[in-house]
Amino acid sequence: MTEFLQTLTSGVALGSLYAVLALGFVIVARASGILNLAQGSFVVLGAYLAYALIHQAGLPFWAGVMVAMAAVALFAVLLEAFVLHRVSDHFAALLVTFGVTIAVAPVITGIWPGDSLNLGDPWALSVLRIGGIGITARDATLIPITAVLLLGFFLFFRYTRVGLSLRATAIDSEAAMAQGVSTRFVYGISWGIAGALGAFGGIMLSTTVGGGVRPGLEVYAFLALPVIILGGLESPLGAVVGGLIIGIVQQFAVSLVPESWGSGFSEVVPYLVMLAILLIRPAGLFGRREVRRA
Amino acid sequence: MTLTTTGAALARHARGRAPRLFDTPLKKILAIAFLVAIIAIPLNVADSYILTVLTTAAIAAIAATGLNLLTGYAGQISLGHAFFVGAGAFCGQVLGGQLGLPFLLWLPLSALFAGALGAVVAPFALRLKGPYLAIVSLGLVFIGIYAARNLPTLTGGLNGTVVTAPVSIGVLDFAALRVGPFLLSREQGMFILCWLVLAVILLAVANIVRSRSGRAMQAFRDHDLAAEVLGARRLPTMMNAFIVSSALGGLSGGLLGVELQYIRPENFGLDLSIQYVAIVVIGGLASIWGPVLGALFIGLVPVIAIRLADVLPFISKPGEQGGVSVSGFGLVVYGVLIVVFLLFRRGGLISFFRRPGRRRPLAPATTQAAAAASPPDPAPGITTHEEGHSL
Repeated sequence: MTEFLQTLTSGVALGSLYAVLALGFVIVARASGILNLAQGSFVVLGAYLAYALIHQAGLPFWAGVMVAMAAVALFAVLLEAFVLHRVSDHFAALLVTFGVTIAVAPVITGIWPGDSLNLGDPWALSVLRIGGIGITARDATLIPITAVLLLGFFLFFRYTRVGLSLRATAIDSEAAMAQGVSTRFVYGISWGIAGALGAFGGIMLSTTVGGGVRPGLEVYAFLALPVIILGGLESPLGAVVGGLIIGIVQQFAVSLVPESWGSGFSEVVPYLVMLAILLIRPAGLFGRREVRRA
Repeated sequence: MTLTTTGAALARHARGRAPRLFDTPLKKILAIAFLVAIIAIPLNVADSYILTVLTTAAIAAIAATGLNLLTGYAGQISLGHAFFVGAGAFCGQVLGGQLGLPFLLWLPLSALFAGALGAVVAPFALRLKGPYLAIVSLGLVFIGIYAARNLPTLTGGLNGTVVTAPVSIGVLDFAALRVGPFLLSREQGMFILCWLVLAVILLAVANIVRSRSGRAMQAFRDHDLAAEVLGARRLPTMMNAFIVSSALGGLSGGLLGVELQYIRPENFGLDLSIQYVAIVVIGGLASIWGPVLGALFIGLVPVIAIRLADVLPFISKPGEQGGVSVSGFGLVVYGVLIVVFLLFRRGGLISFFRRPGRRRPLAPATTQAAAAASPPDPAPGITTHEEGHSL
């Protein structure tokens, strides 16, 4: 039982991280209809900038995290304004964002070389014990922070004017424009949020035990893609629920699957879940069925 | 009214008047020159390094031609082409090396195997419009590497396997060709073999593209609703494109295996997929010669990068810490060029060779339909719920 709860907690921690990354994809997809693979570059940039700010500029950990998130958000806004805005269709946009990720990642790892850079997070290896379950201090901090972040996101979406214009643009951009919503502004905001979320995800990915800031982080951003298939491409709620499901399933795969299934099975679990979902419920848990009218 | 004209256009094609293979005499001459060059170049170039680079480019061009059919003509983005290339490579070694089948059997069977894998995967990804194929195919790469690592009897597992599959057709052994009194090197033989296979593939794909099924692919790319109204069916058409594309990936993989002579699961990761995407985008989407041009260009990037590593301080030589590695430099170039070409030159490198005045739409019937039937519809993207578009 304790072992079950133990796995469940670490699954929730991993899942909330996936939820953050998936939300980054979903918010851009909702606003502008683009599957933004540049999210991978946000993750890499966020983690390495945080490393540079904390270690080379000497900022305290959380200050470094905030500044890195802001910087990546700015990068995302500029990317939208100067590159993506000039791309006319979703087909090219997907390829362009993919191109951005492949070009940015090697440059960044070239500037800060090393297989594993320690971010200097305040948790180190300390473990909290709650009723027999050991939770790493990192997970214990990560879960509430992510919960607050997601809650704030929903409140913003639901109750602010900007959130309303985001939703309006998602439903019908022309009608929103007719009501005086600036779609340029909405696109900028949504890319900025995606950038900040991606940076946060990247930083938190780098605080796992034995992880560190390392090359190949962009591949972890792509692990959020099965999440958005599971949750539905344009559903923020789906991103959160899907993230938690995939995180928990993956952690149980780590602890339950016998060795005979081969090395690295847990790493492909998200993709296998995705294939199963596409077979059973292709629109995702919270996605709308595709309706086509002529 | 528009529908009747496009309907008539499609019907006319259906009676067997497909677009011509060579619409100008110049193209016929160029095709013949290409065939002559395939034989002439290896006989006159002795440098085995240059020949190896060119052979690898031909192999990449075969896979990229497959991807181009899917991405350029059918408008579906796949980031997982390396999966099928890898499947073909390992299948080739199992059939040709372990079971000892002859070349003319193991290579087509490898292609068939990859095509069959494509047929299994396609229904997952193609049921919905939008970027599903991109996501599913990305997952395939990781699943493929996991599978290859854990099937040591077939793939050699983590260590990979030496490729011993034969490359001889009857008495013609391409690893040691004999022309009169001259014995050609393995590099020369492989050059001739791979470029000849590429020539056959180009001819086949040029014909697929002008067939009814190929025109249906382009119709769905340009305007899916119009295509469906005209009686083409989406799922079978897209399945066709995907299966042929996978099979070409497998064919290329089989050749890549014998060219490299040693393959590991890691060879067929995301980086290789990226390379194919870069080839088709840089070379020119939806053109027959685009992937060939793109593959030659991409093949030169590492060559140039190694040269530049001596001059430019930020490129690190192999084994050196700091700076962008040579493979990393390649990725930066691919990424930047993908963005630049999509922003400023959608036609790719091949469009520099087309005289502006003589450019014609690729699929006249369908592009007219798209232009006339409704405002321009973006190519595949995220549309889980499409609304609007009244005809």
